[in-house]
Amino acid sequence: MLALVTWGSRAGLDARTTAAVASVHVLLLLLFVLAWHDGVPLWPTSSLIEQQARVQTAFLLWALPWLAVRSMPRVSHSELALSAALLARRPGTLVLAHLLGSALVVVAVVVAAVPVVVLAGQMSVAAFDGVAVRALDTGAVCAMAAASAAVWSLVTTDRVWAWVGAQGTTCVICVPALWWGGPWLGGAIGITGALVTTAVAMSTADRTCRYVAD
Amino acid sequence: MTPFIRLVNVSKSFGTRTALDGVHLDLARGECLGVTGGNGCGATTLLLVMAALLAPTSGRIEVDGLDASTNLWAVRRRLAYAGGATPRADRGTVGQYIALVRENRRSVARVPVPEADALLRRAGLDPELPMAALSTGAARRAANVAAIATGADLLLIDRPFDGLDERGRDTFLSWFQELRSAATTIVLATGSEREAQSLGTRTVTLDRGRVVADRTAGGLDTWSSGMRGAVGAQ
Repeated sequence: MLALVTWGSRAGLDARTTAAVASVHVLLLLLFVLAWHDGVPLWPTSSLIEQQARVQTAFLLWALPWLAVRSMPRVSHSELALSAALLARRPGTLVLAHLLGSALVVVAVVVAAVPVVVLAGQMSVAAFDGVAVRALDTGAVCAMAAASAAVWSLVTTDRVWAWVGAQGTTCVICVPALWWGGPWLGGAIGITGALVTTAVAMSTADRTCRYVAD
Repeated sequence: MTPFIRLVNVSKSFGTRTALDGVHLDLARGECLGVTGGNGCGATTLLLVMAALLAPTSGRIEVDGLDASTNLWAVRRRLAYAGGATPRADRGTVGQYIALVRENRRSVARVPVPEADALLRRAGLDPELPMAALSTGAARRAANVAAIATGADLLLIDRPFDGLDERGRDTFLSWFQELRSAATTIVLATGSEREAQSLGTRTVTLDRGRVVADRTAGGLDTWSSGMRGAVGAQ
């Protein structure tokens, strides 16, 4: 399976785009440490780390589905069926490999900003609990972005439509969960949504890519 | 003796167009079959149906005694199909691609398969070539090697010599003959009757989806699929 995941990430990896998104992400969060350490005028009552977390979540909700869709290889149902047959795997397993490959890419974008988040946390004297909740929330957005990108890449080979679909799915699950779910529960709902979406992607692939197209 | 692969009255239609029409075919383990015919004769469809990659409109396919409609995944583990194309989206090298195929099929391979680099060297391919930059001939070689790298019981290869130079053709011809002597069943679709005869113990000619000739290398043995069906029914 590890070889398949490596292949899945290699198949769609666009290193320059990933580096560009990671750079914008880090710079955006760095602004809170360098320029906005007194807080953004829009939310004067929130702490630095809370404000940074909100902006980060909004950025990731927009950027990660796009990056995840770009990281999924553009293959037709027939190509997926042929690859699965040659590798003696079910098409759903190949989709899972692509999904995990894409998840590695989006997680890399998040991990790149960890030092800045830690720095902001120290400046805000945030409790460990708050940092852990934020990590879970961010993980939920990553997982949902990769899972919904996998589903929408099966629905269409057009990247713009796949992005619109993935973005919509990610926001529909993550925004209410993170906004109203509260600490821990919001992230848990997001992760559960991602697992369900992954199962949908795998079963859709097994059903629609069973045979090459007539 | 039970045939390794059996097609019973297999038909395949695409809308109103009939691509295969009542094909009966039995193939023993280790047999090599060349499928010929003009453009649009149904050879590619026949190979895809035999590979359980296309569902027939009617009829039955059995591989190693397993019905392909009810044991799809088990049947696919026993065979490998290669068309002319290699994955366009793969950003790795041809060596990585062949190694992936070999690694994934190792547990179900019937025969031990040499390392990817050794396979590619034999095929005259540089393992470091990027998949996205393969020429037509190199992509054809890579597709053939990918099928061989599976170590499967049954190889179904569509137009294995298209785009190859004479040396490449000879390399794969002798490779297929070697595999056949190791009891691998091979079905090759080719546009050339001579190519089919040079590698096959048996040659089947299709015309508009019907088997119009079935020749064995030892002697000429030709009959239409309709006659064969009648013989089978008796």
